[in-house]
This record gives sequence, structure tokens and C-alpha cells, in this order.
Amino acid sequence: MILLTRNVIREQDLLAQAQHPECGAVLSFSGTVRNHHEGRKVIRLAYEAYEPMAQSELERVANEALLKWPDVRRVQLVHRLGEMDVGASSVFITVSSPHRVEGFATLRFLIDTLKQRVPIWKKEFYEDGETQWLHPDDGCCVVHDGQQQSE
Amino acid sequence: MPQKGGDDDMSQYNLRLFALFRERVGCDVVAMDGPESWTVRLCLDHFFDCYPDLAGFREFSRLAVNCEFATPQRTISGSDELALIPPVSGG
Repeated sequence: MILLTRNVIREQDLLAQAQHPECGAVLSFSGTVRNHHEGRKVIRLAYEAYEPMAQSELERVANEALLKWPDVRRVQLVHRLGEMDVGASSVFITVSSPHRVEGFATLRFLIDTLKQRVPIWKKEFYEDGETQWLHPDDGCCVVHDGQQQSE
Repeated sequence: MPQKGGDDDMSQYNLRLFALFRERVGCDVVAMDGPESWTVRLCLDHFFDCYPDLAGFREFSRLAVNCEFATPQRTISGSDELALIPPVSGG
């Protein structure tokens, strides 16, 4: 399942769907809302996406992972949008693999690549009432640039 | 930029905005006039010339054309779906 959702992520359902008889390694990653950022207390987050492109980029990232690690049988990527409180899962990823080594590598690739180039943005709401959009210099496609140029 | 009038071949380009850019500019979409066969690089240059307080993001922002990241050399037309993609922070 590759999905953007405004609802709570159903982690147990995704874990159940990640089970695969040929896979001895089922890995998951839950990115959760943290209560601090650079020394400031964060009370909640909001995520915004360019939805049609975010959906297609998530699909591209998943397909690239499956090409890179052909033994991996199944990957799932779900990103939640809208406002959410500290502790909520904003992104949930599963990888189903016969063996753990390629499973870990795939999982790392998926979350790292998602953070570099899927058009989703995070706004932090701080305890003092201020807000801030995060636009990190390492977001947006250093990796993708290289791939585009080689086409 | 040629002056408007007569037979200038100009098109209107609609650029979708997100996150900080959307809030600073104050709208979801900006319309810009440019030549009929514009490039991604010139379109980005024009946007950041219009909004100099966002210029610090120029180096790290990309243009998406029809939901795909585009190279600076790519030519665009007014019928393309354009989106300005500032550095992303999902996850």
C-alpha cells in the first residue's frame, strides 16, 4: 500500500499486510511527532503535500527500492497529512524481505529518499505560540538531481 | 523582456505554491507572464526576482512540471502544470 491519508495510520493493519510466507524479515519504521526541535518545545505538527506528485513520488521511490533490492517482496509507504499531536505516527513504512540485510538497506533507502524528495512539508507549532515551516537544505532532491541528469 | 503589444509571443504560466512560499506570497497559485517557450531556469529566476525575500531558497528549490521534477534546461508551456517545490520536510 502506497498512501497519503488524513486519518490515523493503521499500523497493525499494515504490519498484518506485511506478512509474507517467503519473508523471514518484516521490518517497519514509524516516524513519530517529536516534542522538541532545536531546543524549542513542539506541541503539534501539520503536514502539507502537493498531493498528486507526492503520491507518484512515493510510488517511484517504492519501485526504485524494489528494483535495487529485487529479493524484497513487498514495501508499504503511508504518510499522514494535516495536524497531529506529539506521539502520533506521521509516516509508516514496512519492508518484507527473505533476509534482514537487504530488508534494513531497503528500509533505510525508503525513509531517506522520502525525506529528500517527496513533496511534503512540515510545520511546527511551538509552546510559545509561534509556528515555523521546515525547509531543510538537505531536503529537495540532491539524489534526484543526479538521477535526472543521467537520464 | 519584450514590451507587451503587437505580436509578442507571451504565455501565462500558473505556478502552484506550497508551505512557506504559499504563506509568504499569500495564495496557492501565482500567474506569471513569460515567453511561449520558456525554460524551467528562467521561470524560477523570474519568480525569485518577483519575491526577493524568498531568494535564499532559490538554490534549494525545484520546479515540478506535470508532477515530476524538471531539469533547469527543460522548456515549458502555459498548459503545463507547474509547481514550485521548496526544500521538503516530510517523514
